[in-house]
Amino acid sequence: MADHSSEHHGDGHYIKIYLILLALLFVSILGPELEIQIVTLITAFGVAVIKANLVVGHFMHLNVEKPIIKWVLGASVVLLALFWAGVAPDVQKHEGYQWENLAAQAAVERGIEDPAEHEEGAAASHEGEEALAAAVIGPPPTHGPLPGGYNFTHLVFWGVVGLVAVGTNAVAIMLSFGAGLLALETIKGDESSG
Amino acid sequence: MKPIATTRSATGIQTGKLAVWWVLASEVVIFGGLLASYIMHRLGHPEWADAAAVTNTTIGAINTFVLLTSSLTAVLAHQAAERGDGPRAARFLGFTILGALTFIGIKAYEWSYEISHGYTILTNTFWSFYYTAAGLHALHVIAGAIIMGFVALDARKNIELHRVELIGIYWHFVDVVWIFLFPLLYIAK
Repeated sequence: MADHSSEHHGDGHYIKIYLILLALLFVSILGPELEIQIVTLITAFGVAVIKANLVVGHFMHLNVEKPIIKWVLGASVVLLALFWAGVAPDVQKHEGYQWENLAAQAAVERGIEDPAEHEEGAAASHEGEEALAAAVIGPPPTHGPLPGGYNFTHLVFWGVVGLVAVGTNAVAIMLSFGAGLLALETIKGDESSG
Repeated sequence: MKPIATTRSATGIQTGKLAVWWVLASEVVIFGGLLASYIMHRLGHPEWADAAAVTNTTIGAINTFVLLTSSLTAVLAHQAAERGDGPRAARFLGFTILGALTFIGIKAYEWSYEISHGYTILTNTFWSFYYTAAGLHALHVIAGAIIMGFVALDARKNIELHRVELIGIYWHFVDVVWIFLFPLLYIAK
């Protein structure tokens, strides 16, 4: 059974947490009604962090769990931050020192000019843009036989990159954690037998 | 005779519970990577706001309510298991499964509506992320509900009651993922 002191709480404690979570849900729904961007950001994402904290702390009992669990989860969050830091400059920005992402710029322009056309997919790309892209970065991206063109090929590319990155991280976490655990238990076993 | 490897000596944590947290650590990177990619693209593409405006906030909010409620019943099942009351734990797990089915039902209605109006996974990158993130989450909901069914069947007969807590931890994680998906896909217009 549980090796912590969660049984100190009665059912009433969890119902109280649940009611707080529902109140926070209403805050996150009503926030955008004020139509002030900063308020929407705080009520949507700030409240999400508080809600997640309540669930993880009280329902998952992480607040009374042994520290090693927090370290394992912390390692995942650090890897995630590294992934973000490495990829963000290429994705969030569309130009920089001696480089320019013409396809992304064109996608933004197309979407803002005519959202309907953008939603129908980028198959109806402009000839002028393609000529410009060819002049600067070589031949335009090949549009596959599947609908979606630019969007779909890029999704597949980033999907594969993401899966490789994420999969490697996940396996690395599992292997290193398992190896650490084995080493610790071996050391402890030696101590107790010796 | 009691099996010898129920608790890892190095951590002092029950082996099964350690394994669940271990899985969740890798899930953090899987869902985190997906959501981080979405946020990065969203920040780089202001035109996505037009696509995001189409998603139905009311349906998203109802599903959040359903998942939060199912999390409550999951933790109440754990409490019952702690007290050794297997049938009560099984009953609460049953309510949690009902929550999972409601969630999937609402999602099926929502997706059918959107797809019939021409918003498919290939419409544009926003919709690709929308269906991928919500779809991966829905798969976790389905998997959790199936496992919970097996745990509940045992719990009813007071067998393997510690598993009620383990499936609960997983279920709360699925809830936490949705807590972040809700503002990202339904509120940030």
